[in-house]
Amino acid sequence: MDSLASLALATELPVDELLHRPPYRKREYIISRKMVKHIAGQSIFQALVLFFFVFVGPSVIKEDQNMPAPYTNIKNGEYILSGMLNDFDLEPLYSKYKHITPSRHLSIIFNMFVWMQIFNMLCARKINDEINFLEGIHTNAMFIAVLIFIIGLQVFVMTAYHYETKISLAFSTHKLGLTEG
Amino acid sequence: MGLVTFPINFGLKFVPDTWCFTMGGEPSNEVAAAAEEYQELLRIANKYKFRQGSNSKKLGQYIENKQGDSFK
Repeated sequence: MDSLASLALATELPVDELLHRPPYRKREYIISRKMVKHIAGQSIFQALVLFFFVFVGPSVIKEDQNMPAPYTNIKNGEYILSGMLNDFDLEPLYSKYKHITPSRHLSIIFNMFVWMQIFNMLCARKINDEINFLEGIHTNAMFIAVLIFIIGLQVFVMTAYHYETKISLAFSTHKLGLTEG
Repeated sequence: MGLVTFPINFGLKFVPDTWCFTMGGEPSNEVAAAAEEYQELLRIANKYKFRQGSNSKKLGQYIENKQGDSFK
């Protein structure tokens, strides 16, 4: 996905505004303050979100009630079963079920991470803090094609599943709905 | 949840760059000299905004950029 996103961003056409930018200094560092701001900001945000849902997810994410056991949370049926193999006391947690089906909890985390990356890729089109990051997107067919391909692939990975096992056809993920990410 | 990336990115646009650290060392005199050079470039650009004084144009060797998408 990262390679495709890089490819998409690399095909952005230059705009006239680039000519108003100050020339780069000969010893200027390749990562500017603005880049640090966005890289650090997004990294901290995404890390916080993922850590929250990894550790607190089993208390806040509702289980899919339409899914029969053992593909759903067989413990209490209301909230999702933690995807961590063992708890902090090394007592088996999901390791008891991992041979039955991939963790729905971790599949949601994975899906969440990928969608955050996809939306961040859109934001990364503009690098000088322009408000409208979608400006001129219609002029870059390659970007749109790559974006559609990435989104299509992710939707396929998370929604196409084997009827009986409920396991995704691509990778070992649990089948999810379109809004679970 | 992925959509929350948008407001976070929007908020980051209003965070001053000066709050962030710089990576790598660059002599401050070079930064100041580059800033002066840029101001000089701007002064020249504004003076000859329409390239009226361009020697290339006088010689007929100047290619006029297209309006709008000049890079296409």
